[in-house]
Amino acid sequence: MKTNDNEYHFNLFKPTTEHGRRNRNIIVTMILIWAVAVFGFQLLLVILQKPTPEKTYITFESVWDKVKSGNASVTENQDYIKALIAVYGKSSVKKDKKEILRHGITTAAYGMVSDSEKVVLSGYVLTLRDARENLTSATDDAYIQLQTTLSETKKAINEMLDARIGIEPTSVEATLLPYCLNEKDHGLTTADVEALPQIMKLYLVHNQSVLTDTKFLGFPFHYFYTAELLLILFVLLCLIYSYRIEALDKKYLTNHN
Amino acid sequence: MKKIFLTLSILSFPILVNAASLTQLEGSFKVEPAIILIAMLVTFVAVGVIHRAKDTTDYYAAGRKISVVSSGMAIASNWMSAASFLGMAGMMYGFGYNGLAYVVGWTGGYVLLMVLMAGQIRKYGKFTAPDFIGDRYYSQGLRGAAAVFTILISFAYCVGQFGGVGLMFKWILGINYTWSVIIGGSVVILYTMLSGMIGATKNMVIQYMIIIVAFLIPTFILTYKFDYFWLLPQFGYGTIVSDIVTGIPAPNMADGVALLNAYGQNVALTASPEFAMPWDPATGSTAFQWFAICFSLMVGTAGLPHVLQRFYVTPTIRDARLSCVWGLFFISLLYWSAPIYSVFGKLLSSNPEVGNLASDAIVVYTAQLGDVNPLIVGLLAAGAISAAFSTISGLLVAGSSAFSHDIYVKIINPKASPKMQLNVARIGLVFMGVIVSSVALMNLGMIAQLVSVAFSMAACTIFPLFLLGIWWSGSNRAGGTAGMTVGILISLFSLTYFIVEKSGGALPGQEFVGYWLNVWYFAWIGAPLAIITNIVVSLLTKPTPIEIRKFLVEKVHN
Repeated sequence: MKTNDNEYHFNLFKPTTEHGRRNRNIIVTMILIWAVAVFGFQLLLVILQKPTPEKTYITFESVWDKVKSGNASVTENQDYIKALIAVYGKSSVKKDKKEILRHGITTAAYGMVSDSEKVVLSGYVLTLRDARENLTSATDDAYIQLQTTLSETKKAINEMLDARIGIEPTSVEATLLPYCLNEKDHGLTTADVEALPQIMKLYLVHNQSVLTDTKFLGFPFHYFYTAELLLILFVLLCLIYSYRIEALDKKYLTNHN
Repeated sequence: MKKIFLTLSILSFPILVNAASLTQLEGSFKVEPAIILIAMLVTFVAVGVIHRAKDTTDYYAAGRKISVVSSGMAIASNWMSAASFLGMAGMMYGFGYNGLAYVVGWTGGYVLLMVLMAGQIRKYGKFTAPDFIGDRYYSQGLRGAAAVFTILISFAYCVGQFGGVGLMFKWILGINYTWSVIIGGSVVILYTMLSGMIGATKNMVIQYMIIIVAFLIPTFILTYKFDYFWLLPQFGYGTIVSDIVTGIPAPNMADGVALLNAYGQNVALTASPEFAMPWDPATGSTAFQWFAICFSLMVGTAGLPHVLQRFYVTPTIRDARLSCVWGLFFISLLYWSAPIYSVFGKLLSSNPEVGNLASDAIVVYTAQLGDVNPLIVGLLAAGAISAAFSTISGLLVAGSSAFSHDIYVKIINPKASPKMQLNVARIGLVFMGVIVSSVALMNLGMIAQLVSVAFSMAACTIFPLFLLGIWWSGSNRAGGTAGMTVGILISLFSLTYFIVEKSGGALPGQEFVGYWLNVWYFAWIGAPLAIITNIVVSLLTKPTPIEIRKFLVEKVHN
C-alpha cells in the first residue's frame, strides 16, 4: 500500500495488498451479479419481446373495415361492439380514449334497436348517469333507493341489448355495457374513425415473450423474478458480502472493528 | 377464478349496513381510524420527549447506542416512507410492471450502499454527509454546497411525504387537503424538534413495528377472504396477477357465489395484460424509462444524506454492515407485500360503479373495498402516516443538521456553543418544515414520483463524491468541485424544465428533455457524467494532500 509517506495512494482497482486484492474481487463480483441480475434480465425481456395482439384485436381488425363502410353483418357488428367493450373495461384506458370508445359502442348499440327503443334506451342511460352522480352524496334511505334504481336500470338495459349484441347476461361485457353508453348517439366523427384503430392497437397489443408467458407459482415468470426473486437476491448479496468482508478483515486487518 | 367467501344473499346485509359507507370511501370523518391515529401520535411525541436529545452527539448520531436489529429497524423505518407505503402500490396500480422499477430501484440500491458505502462511512467517523465531503475534499465550499444540496434533497423528499400525510389525514379526519397537511406537518415538526435523532431512532423502532404490522395484516385477510394462498400472501398473489392478465370472463355465479367487493359490486374485469407486461404501450411507459428510473433510484439510494447518516449511529463497522442487511430485510418485507395492494386494488375496483380512485391512496381503498374491518383499515392508514412521519423526522434532522453543523458552525460561527448549535438546528427544522408544507399543498405529482426527484439529485451530487472519495484517493478538491458542479447543473436543468412545464410554459426542446432528462430519472446520465468529470479533472490537477490520502489508507481501508 505504501513505500513512504509521500506514496499513500488508494485505488479500488489497483490494490497493493492481499487484503486489497481480495476486497476488490468480492466487491466486483457482488456488483457484477447485482448488475446482471437486475439489468441483464430486463435486457433479455427487451430482446425476446414480440408485440403480441390479444384475440380481441384480431377480431376487431377482421371486422373494422366492414363496420366502417357500413357493410358489416349482424355477427360482425356484434364482434365489433364486444371488442370495444373489452377495451372499455380495462381500467388503464385514459378518459379521452374512453370517450371515443363510448361513441363507438353507443353508435353500434343504438344501431341495433328500433327508433322507439332508442328513446327508451336513452332514458335508461340518462337515469343511470343521474343515479351514479347522486350516489356519491347520498346517505341512508336515499342511497338505498338510488342503488335500487341503478340495479333496475342496468337490468333493463341488459334485457334490451344483451341478446342483440350476443353477450351472456352474467358476462363481464353485460356488467360493463350499461356504463359504456351515451344518452344520445351522434354517430362516429372522422376523428373517431381515425382514432379507434389506434386506441385498439394501443390497448390490445402487448410486449410478450416466453418469459412473460411462462407461469411460476401462479405468477407470470418475469413478474415473479422482478417483484420477488430480485429482492431475495439483494438480501442474500448483502448478507454474503457482510460475512465475507468480515472474515477478510479479521484475517488481514489488525483494527478491523 | 377462485371461489369467493361471500354469497349474494349474505352480502345483502353488509350492503345495507354499509349503505352510507360507499360515500365514506373518502371525505367523511372516521372515528376508529382517528382514535388509532391520535393514540399513535401521542405515543410518538411521548417517546420523543422521554428520549429527547441532551447534547449535540445525541442529536446528530443518537449517541451511537443503537443495537444492530434496532438500527436495522430504524433504517427500514426511516426508509419506508409514504412513497413506500402508499406511493409504490399506487405506481403499480397505475403503471403496472413499470411500477416495479420503484420496488427494484429502492431495494437494489441497498446492495450498492452495503458494498460501497456502509462500513467505510462508519470508519471515516463523520456525523453528516457534508461533514464527510468537506473533510475528504478539504473544501469549505464543497461542504457548503453539499450542505445546501442535503437540505434541497431532504426538502424534495419531504414534499412527497407531506403529500402522503395530507392524503391520509384527509381520509381519516374528513377535512380538506390543506388543513390535513398543516395539522400533520405541525405534529411531525413538533416531535422531531423535541427529540432529535435519539428520539427519532427510538420512535423509528416503534414506527417500524406499526408500519409492518399495519401493512401485513390486511394482506393476510384479503388473500384469505378471496381464497388465494393466504399463508404467505407475498407469494399467494401471483394467481391474481395472472387472473388480471387473462381477465375474469364472467361473475362467477356457480354455487350461488360471486366475486364481490365490500359494496356488493361484482368484479368485472376484461383481460388486462397491460397490468403485468413489461413497459406496455398502454401504460405510456417505455423500457428506457424502466431502466432509467431503476438506475436513478438505486444510485440515489446510495447517495441520500439521511440514509447515509444512519450508518454513523452504529457502534462498530461490523454493526454498520449488519444494520444494512437487517434494514434491507425489514424493508423487503414491505416491498414484497406492496404489489398485493395494487393487484387487489385492480381487482376490487374494476366494477365501473367504483369509479376512478386516487392511485396514491389505493392501499387504503383496497382494504376498504375488500371489506377489511374498519379498525384494521384505520391501523393501515395510521401506518401510512407513521411511515411518512418516520421518514420526515429523519429528513428534517438531516436537513437541519446540515444547516446547523455544516453551514452555521463550520462556516458561519465556528465558536458556537453546543446549546446554540442545537437551537440553530431546531430553528432550521421548523423553517424547513413550514416551507415543505407550503410546497406540498401544490400537489405537483404522485408521491413516488416526487420522492424520486430527491433520488436523482442525490445520485448526481452526493453519490459521486462518496463513491470516489472512499475508493480513490486520487479524487481531489478540483475534481470533486467539477463533478459536483456538473451534477448540480444537470439537476437544475431538469428541474427548470419541470417547473416551466408545470407552470404551463414550454422551453426549447421541452419534449426531448421531458423524456430523456425527466425530473424523475435524470440521474441515469447525470450521475455517470459527474463521476467522469470528477475523475478527469482530478487527473489533470494537483493531487490530493498527503494527510487525506494517509487517512484513507490507514483509517478507512486498514
